[in-house]
Amino acid sequence: MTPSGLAKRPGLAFASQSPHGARRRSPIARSQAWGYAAAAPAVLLIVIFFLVPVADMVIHAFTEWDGIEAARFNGLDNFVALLQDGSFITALRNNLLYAAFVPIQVVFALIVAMLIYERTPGWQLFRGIFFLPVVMSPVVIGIVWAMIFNLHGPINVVLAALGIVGPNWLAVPVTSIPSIMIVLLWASFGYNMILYLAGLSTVSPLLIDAAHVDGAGWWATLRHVIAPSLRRTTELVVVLNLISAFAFMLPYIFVMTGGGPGRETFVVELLIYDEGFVFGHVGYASAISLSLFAIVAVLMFAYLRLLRRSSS
Amino acid sequence: MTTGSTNPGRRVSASPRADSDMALPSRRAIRSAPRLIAISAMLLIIAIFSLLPVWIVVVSAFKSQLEYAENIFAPPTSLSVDNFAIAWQQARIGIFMRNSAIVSVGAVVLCITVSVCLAYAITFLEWRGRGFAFTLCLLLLAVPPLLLLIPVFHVLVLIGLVNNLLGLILLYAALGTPFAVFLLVSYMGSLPTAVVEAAVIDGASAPRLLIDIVVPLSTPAIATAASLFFLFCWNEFIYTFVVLHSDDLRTLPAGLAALQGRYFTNFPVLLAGIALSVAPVIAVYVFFQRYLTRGIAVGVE
Repeated sequence: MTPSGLAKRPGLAFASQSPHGARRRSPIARSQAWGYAAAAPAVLLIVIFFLVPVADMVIHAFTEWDGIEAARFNGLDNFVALLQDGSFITALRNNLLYAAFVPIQVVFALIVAMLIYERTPGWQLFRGIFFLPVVMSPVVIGIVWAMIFNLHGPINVVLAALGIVGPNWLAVPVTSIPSIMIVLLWASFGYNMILYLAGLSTVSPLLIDAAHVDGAGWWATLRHVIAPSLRRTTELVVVLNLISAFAFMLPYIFVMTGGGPGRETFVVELLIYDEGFVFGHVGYASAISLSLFAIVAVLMFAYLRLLRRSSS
Repeated sequence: MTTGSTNPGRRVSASPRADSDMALPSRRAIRSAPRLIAISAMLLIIAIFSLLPVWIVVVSAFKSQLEYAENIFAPPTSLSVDNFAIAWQQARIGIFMRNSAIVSVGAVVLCITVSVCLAYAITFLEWRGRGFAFTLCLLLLAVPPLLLLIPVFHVLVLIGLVNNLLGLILLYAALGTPFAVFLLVSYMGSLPTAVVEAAVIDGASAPRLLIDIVVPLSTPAIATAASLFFLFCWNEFIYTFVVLHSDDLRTLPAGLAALQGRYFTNFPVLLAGIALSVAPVIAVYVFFQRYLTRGIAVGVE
């Protein structure tokens, strides 16, 4: 309860973010009551919209429930059904395909960040342009790109000028997923670039100068000086993009293809929506949510570890 | 290049100086002209890829359907705002925009207020459960909102706030709280101890310390949390789509998704609506780019 307890607080941002690590005495008398008062509103929101829903989901995952009448416990039936559900298998396969595209997203963002890092004239303008998609809604991005991939859209107009008849990109199985991947690349590289630029800013320019003085070329410098320093940034970028591939795909798919043609571009998130809100299989939808939770959990913990490591 | 370069990325702080890591490195001296041209050319190509959709939206929004069909890429022959008027009135973008503004502003104010209070309690006050509260926020900030779509909707049904803007405001505020608390605790933990101590010695109570000292000192972190969260609220799709189903209550993303089907044959109007809906976030982007960047880069060492 003495003010001197505060002096233990390290001066660095993040350094004391963990109350376990740097627990310090509060300087304020009766802070116990004030502490509860200040925490209560946020804690209430978290309880209502996180903790209760998590419990609700876990409970109903083991029931047959239409969301209206009383739920009926049915053990593991939902999960058994899930493994035999062709839509789920297709959806999961597609999520894995989008995840498999992550390396390309990451490498492209790294290249862009390296180009910006060269500080050629106008680099700030380029950085601003590449950042633009970050602020846009996935719905807006999806609608605009659906128009671009339209049978009579700009891509096919250009192809027609070259004498090629373009396909209806999003409606043909072979081209639909690659088209969506291009949209993902467009939407994500600015965000990833920002992470890489932040990572690059921690690489000491003196180190790079030293490498140049020692006669290292561009590639050698990238490989032996810059890349090792960017390992953690790369881990972060990969984990965030993998999480997106499993749990942030819905708005793009929803407005661009609706999961079609057939179920060609379907994702697990869309299955959750369909089962829960279209077919009224709410218990089943809860089971799918829980399963997706389990799939993403590994990535979530990897992300948290990276966050904590950067802040310790 | 001065202070920032040894240790940037660690700070969520947003003093302009922290951006100095973006200053010119000395490598510039040893760059050859061909290399400079090659790099600029690559950047230009990527910029065209990046801007082409934006260009098409902007030029098409001013065109008639006929003009659009004739040449998608060409600039409009006249600056007619007919499409914008149709989008605003008939396509109801004006109503969607009003709803989006109510929800986003309401949720930002609520989320930031409760998050600042919780972050302050975690950082400066002694109460049982503060360690637990922080760990909980840390765990929850990694949960993708979609995973809770089904049960959160059920909760809203139970408390009777489905198809109600207030329901969405409360829900959004809750979804944004864990990350905002994390950002704010990180920042508050770095505030100079002397200032806080001095205020306490002067006899400041807990609320005084929060309002007079901690909040003014934390404005950069508050701006970061608020601007990132505003974008989330303005752009979020699936929750607003399932929670608000009256046509009069839709926010922009859900409204645009619904319009997409109806105006599929009239792209210029749809694109005018999109241009209108994006204008506010572009403004946020222009004024808050520095804060947004810093919030996104959290976790990079």
